[in-house]
Amino acid sequence: MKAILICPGYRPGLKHLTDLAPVAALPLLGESLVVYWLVHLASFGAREVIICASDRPWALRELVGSGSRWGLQVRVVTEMYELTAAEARARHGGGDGWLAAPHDVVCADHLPGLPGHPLAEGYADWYTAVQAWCDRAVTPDRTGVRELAPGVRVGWQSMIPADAVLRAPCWIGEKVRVGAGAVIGPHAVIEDRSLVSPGAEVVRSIVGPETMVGENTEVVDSIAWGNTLVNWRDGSCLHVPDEFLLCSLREQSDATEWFRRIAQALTGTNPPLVPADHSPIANPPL
Amino acid sequence: MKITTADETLQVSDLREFGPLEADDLIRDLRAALQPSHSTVEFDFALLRSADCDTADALLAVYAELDRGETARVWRVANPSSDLRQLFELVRLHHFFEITPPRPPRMILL
Repeated sequence: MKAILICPGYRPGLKHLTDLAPVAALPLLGESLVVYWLVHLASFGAREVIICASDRPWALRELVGSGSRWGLQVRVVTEMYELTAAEARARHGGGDGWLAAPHDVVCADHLPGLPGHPLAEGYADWYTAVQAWCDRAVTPDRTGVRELAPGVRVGWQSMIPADAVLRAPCWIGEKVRVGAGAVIGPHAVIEDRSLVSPGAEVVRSIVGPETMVGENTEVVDSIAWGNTLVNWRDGSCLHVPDEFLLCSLREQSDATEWFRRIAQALTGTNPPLVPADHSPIANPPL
Repeated sequence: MKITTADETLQVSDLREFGPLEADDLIRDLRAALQPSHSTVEFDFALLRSADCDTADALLAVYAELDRGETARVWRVANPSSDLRQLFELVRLHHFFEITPPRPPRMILL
């Protein structure tokens, strides 16, 4: 069976997030909108999905690959603008073997099963949709998410000290580090590989992936993503100037890698990227 | 920097820069101006050009130096930009200061 998935185009209402990635590829409880839709379509019996993308289709192509992860054949086609369902059907439909309407053409401007929660119009919508999705995000293809207490979900390899306070509902992704005495929740989401420092408090907020929330800070009614702090209630945005308060761990690790390479170059210990005989570099024995 | 009194409010305005250096001067001036009859101390940040954690640190230093808990005095931050308000809330200054709704135009953060 075949289906068409229309990804949202560029949405200025989420500017500070969509500057990083298209809406459909933004991390959302460890996965992304497009992935949730592919899982959903696969569960409906789809085996071939055409993704119509007008905003950075290459990012989606990189994310979904061939679709084999979900037992699908996925093709990302570039569109000049966000198609309507009728336009998509006329352009890419035809022939037999389509899912029954309306599942044959899906506009991914909301999460599966949550049509009343459009998520791409503004930060408040994004926050509300993510909160509503918490109960459904553990899709059949996911493993490793544990429910420590009713409404408190934690991904694998996350470290939470005994004196941290987790207030339901909250979601803590994979490989998250929570510091001593930190308070998370209610209605908080910590995306994968983030760090909530000791004494910090995250309430009614989303902390993006690979984000460090500084010691004793308070993130309330906000979306903290790297060093960007957006108040989802009024849309105001702050690029936090002090890294110890809020920053991206990815940028830090890149910087660390850069300094490491400079240091290695100066001390002459930098290993060549390609060996002298131009043979591929073998993995060192474990 | 200007310190004026209106009724029971001691207002600090014309703050264009505010960091540790300005805080020292402000503590000295405020200590001289502050009377028991002042029920409110208000910092007007309408003209502040830039801010970072030093700004929050300086403001907290003024509060810690002058508020001895003897009177139920209100400490207020007035006319912050929206991002300054967010910064103050991030570092929990809103537990010490009443922060008025932000003014519309943005300022530049260092």
